[in-house]
Amino acid sequence: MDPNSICRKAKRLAGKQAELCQTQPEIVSEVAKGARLGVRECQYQFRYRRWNCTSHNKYFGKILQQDIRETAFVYAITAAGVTHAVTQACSMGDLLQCGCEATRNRAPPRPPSSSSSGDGVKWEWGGCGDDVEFGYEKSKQFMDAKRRRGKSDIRTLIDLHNNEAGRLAVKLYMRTECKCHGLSGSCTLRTCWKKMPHFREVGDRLLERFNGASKVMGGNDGKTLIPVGQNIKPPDKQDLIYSDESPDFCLANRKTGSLGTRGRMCNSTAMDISGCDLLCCERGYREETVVFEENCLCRFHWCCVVQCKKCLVRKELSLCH
Amino acid sequence: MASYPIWWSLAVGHQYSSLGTQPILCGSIPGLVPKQLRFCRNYVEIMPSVAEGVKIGIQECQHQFRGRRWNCTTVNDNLAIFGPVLDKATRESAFVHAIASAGVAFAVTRACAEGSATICGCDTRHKGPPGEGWKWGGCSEDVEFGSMVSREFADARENRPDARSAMNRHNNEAGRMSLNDNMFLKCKCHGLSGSCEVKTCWWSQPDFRVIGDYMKDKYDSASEMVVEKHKESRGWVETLRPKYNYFKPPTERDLVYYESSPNFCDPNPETGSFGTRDRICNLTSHGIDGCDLLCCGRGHNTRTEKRKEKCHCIFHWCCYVSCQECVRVYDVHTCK
Repeated sequence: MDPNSICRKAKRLAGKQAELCQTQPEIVSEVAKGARLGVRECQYQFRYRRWNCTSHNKYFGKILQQDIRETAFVYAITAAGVTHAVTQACSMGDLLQCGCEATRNRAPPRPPSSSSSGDGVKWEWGGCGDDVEFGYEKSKQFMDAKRRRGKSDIRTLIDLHNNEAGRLAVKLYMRTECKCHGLSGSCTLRTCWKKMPHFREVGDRLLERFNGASKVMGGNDGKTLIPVGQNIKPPDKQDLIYSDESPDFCLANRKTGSLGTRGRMCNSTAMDISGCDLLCCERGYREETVVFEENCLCRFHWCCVVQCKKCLVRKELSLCH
Repeated sequence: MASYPIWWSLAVGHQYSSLGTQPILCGSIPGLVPKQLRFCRNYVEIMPSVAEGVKIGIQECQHQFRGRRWNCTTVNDNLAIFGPVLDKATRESAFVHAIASAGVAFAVTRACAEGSATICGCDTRHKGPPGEGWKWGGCSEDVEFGSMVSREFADARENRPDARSAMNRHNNEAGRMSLNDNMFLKCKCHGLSGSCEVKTCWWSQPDFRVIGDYMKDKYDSASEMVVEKHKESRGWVETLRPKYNYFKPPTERDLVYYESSPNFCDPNPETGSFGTRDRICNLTSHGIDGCDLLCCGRGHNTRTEKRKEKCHCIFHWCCYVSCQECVRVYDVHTCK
C-alpha cells in the first residue's frame, strides 16, 4: 500500500483525495502507514474472538460491505490509526507541512504528579508537543472526503460517525508529560508537553466502545439516526454505531464473509469468548502437542555478543474442530 | 425423568398462594411416591412449611446465582420447575437439590419453634451442659425434627440403585448437615437493670442467607466424580468415586456431581438453558457478572433510568422528618 499505488488508482478517488494525492504524496504514505497500524491493532484486539479481523483475503471486503459492529470498529480504528501516524510523523519531523504543536498562550494544566508539590512550582509549555489537530484534519480530509453531510444515506452517516469516534479516541485522551529541570534536577522548574496516548490504549478504548455499541436505524427524514430499542441511551460522539446484526461467525460462509472458527487456537480453561466452549461453538476441540526450538539460557559475553542455547519446548495447544 | 422432584412445583405457581388458608390435600400434590403420600397424611400439619421450605431454597438459589450465566430461573407453568437443567447431573443440580433440602429442614424447624404445629415444638433435650453464667431457657429450635422431615419426605424417592440417586442422597445430606453445622447459641441478658449477670441461652438457626453462602462455597469447590458399576446381591448398583486422585476426596459436607455443565450462554431448549440475553450486567466488574463474561462477547446495550428517591432529609422538632424528592439518573446495561 505505498502512496504511488494508492494514488495511481486515482479514478476511484474523488475531489479532495485526488487533490491530496497530487499535492502532498508524502502525507499519503503516512496515511497508508496509519491504515496498516489500524488493521494490526484490530487483529490484536480481536485475536481471541470468533471473527479475528484477518484482512489478507477477499472475505474482508464482504465484511466491510455489511453495516455490523465489526465494520464500525474497523472504520474507527483505521481513522484513529491515520490520525496517530500522521501526528507521529509530524513530531518526528518527517513531514514538511507540520511540526511540533505551537505553544499558544494557554494556562498550564495541573501536572500529573503534582499532589505534594504545592503551588510554588513554575510551569511552562515546551518540548515538542504532538500536533494532533493536524493529524485530525488530515484523517478527516482523507477518509471523509467522498461523503458530504446532508446529502448522504444512512450507511454513510454511520461510517462518518464511526470515523469521528475513532479520531476522538486519539484526540480527547492526550496526556501531559513533564520533565523537571530546576536546581540539580529538582522539580522547581518544569517543562511539559502534550503527547498522544499509546496506540494500544486507543485500541482498548475502542474495544470497550465496541462492546457497548448501539444499534441505530434511520429516522423518517432520512438524515437522523435513532437508537433501536426502548429507553436506549442515545449514542454520543465517541460511541460506535451499527445497523445490522452480525452474521454467525461460527461457520464459514462465503456470502457473509465469515471464515468460521475451524482450526482456531482456543484456551481450554477460560470462561470468556476465547474459551474452547464458546470459540469452537460447541463443536469440541482437539489437543495437539507442538514441539519447537527456541533460544534459552542466553548469556552476554564482553564485548559485545549474546550467545544462546537452543531448547526444545513442548506446548499443548487446543484447536477447534 | 423418573427422578425429577416434581412435587417441588408445590412451591411455585398458583398452588402456593392457597397454602396456609386451607389444609393441604395430600392427594393433590403431583409426583409423590406411596411412602411420601403416607408421610404427608401423618404429618399434614407441617406440609405447608415443607412447601415454604422449597420456596425459601429457590429464592436463596436465585440470590446466590444472580450474577452468573445460569441464574436459577424457574418456569411456572411446568411441573418440572427448573426445566431440563436438572436432568443432567451437573454442579448446578447438586446445588439445587442441597439448598432445597436445607430449605425444607429450615422451614419445618422454624414452624415448630413458632408453635404452628402440634406434632413438634421446642427441643427439650438440651444439648450439652450450660456454661458459666447462663442457663438453658427460651425455645431451642429442633433441627433434628426438621432434618428428619427433610430426609423422610424429600429423600423418599432417592432409593434407586443408580448413580443419580446416590448423588442426590449425598447432596441432600450435605444440605441438611450445613444447617446442623451453622446452629448457634443465642442468649438474652436479663439481670439487674438489663445487665448480663443472668443469661438465658438457646440453640437457634442462623438466617437462611448464611446457609446459602455456605452452600455456594461448597458449589464452588464441588468434587467431580465418575460412575462405577458393581454387582451386588440385589443386582447392579452404581456408585460414585472421585475422578482425580490427587485432589482431596469429598467429605459428607461437600457437593458432588459427575456430568459437566452445558453452555449457558445461548438459549437451548434441549439443555434447558435460557441464554443471557437481556440480563443486567455490571460494566465495571471483571467477574462472571461483568458485561464481558456474562454477555459472552456479544456486547451490551445501555439505557438510562430515572428513579425518584428521597434526599436532603431534615428532622424537625418535634417529631417528624421531611424529605425532598430527587431524581437520580443512572445507566443500566443489559446483554445483547
